[in-house]
Amino acid sequence: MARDPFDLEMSLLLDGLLDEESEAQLRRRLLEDEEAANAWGRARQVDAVLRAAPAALPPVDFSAKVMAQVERYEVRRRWRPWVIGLMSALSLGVGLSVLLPVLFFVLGLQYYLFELPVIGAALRFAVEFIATAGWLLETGMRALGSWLMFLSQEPGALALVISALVLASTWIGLREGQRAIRMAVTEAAASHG
Amino acid sequence: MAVDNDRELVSRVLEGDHEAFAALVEQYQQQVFNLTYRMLGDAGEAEDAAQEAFLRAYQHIDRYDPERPFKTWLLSIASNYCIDRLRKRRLTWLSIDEPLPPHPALTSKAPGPEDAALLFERDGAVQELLGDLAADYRAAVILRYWYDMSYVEIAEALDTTESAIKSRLFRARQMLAQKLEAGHRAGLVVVMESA
Repeated sequence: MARDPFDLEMSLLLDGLLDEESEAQLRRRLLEDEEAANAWGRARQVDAVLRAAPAALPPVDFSAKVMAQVERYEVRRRWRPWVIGLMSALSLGVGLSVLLPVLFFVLGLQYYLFELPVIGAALRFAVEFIATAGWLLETGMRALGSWLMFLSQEPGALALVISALVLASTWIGLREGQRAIRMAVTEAAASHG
Repeated sequence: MAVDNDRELVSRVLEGDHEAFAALVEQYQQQVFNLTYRMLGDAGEAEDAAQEAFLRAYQHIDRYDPERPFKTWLLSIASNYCIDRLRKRRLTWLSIDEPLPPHPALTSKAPGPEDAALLFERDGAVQELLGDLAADYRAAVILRYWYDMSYVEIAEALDTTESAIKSRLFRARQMLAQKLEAGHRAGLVVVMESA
């Protein structure tokens, strides 16, 4: 591959950084070497174009946009410690809410609690209350289930219950109607009087 | 003096004065935007990158060394951000070889329609030239040509050595010259010759 005629000295000469002696040598070479002279000519062309190239201008609102970004950054920076603190507290809270009950039962601390005078009595009461309420609820549900089962298996009993319900609702309806008529009569008498 | 003024503004920003930072943005917005536009070649992307550069400067202003010019520090943030962005762009196969659209808002003293068209065309050609360079080389070329930075300043901005910059500029110019020689960009040659 042929050596590129453009060399480092030419580049330095373009920037005015070549000492006098080297510059004289290079200029002599440019007179003698046609390829080097052509390369030098092209380099000067590129140099001239780049030097003449204009500077691009930013949009008119550029400065305002930058300052808006700075403002947003400042807001984020101001809130960052609070957000980090809140996130840490939340993480800690979630961790503890999982860890503490597990530790409580794994270490068998519930037995110690029952031995304490006031808390133990309260806990025992709570346990008994929950157990009694549970028993009552269970018994009631079982009785209701048995009764419904009985009704579904005994058509006579079912008919009796339905008849009783019809009679009861009719009786209630009649009573309510009677009361309404009485109130209307009283209001009419009051308005005439 | 601008440097002293910058130091004063930076110290006020460190004390929480937003207006001082707004003054810095106002002062350097054109230079930062031009850098990001020349690096990325797309006006929308350049605007995002320039905003990001200013935001990063604000976030890390406590790391700014007052012995260095603020402009160099700021342009260093912008150019390194653009280099990262170009590398990511390459990784995602959004080719940087595609022709880059030119930006319409160009600094000029109210050119006439023909001048504006020529300027627009020339700008597109410049972007096309730059578009083929690797991100590191492109940054060195931009800082050299648009900001007239010395090799030492470019090295500082790009966090490298002076000899690396010397080499990058040489290779970048070599590539650009070869590109002309190959004649692949016929339109570019026409525009450059008419310039």
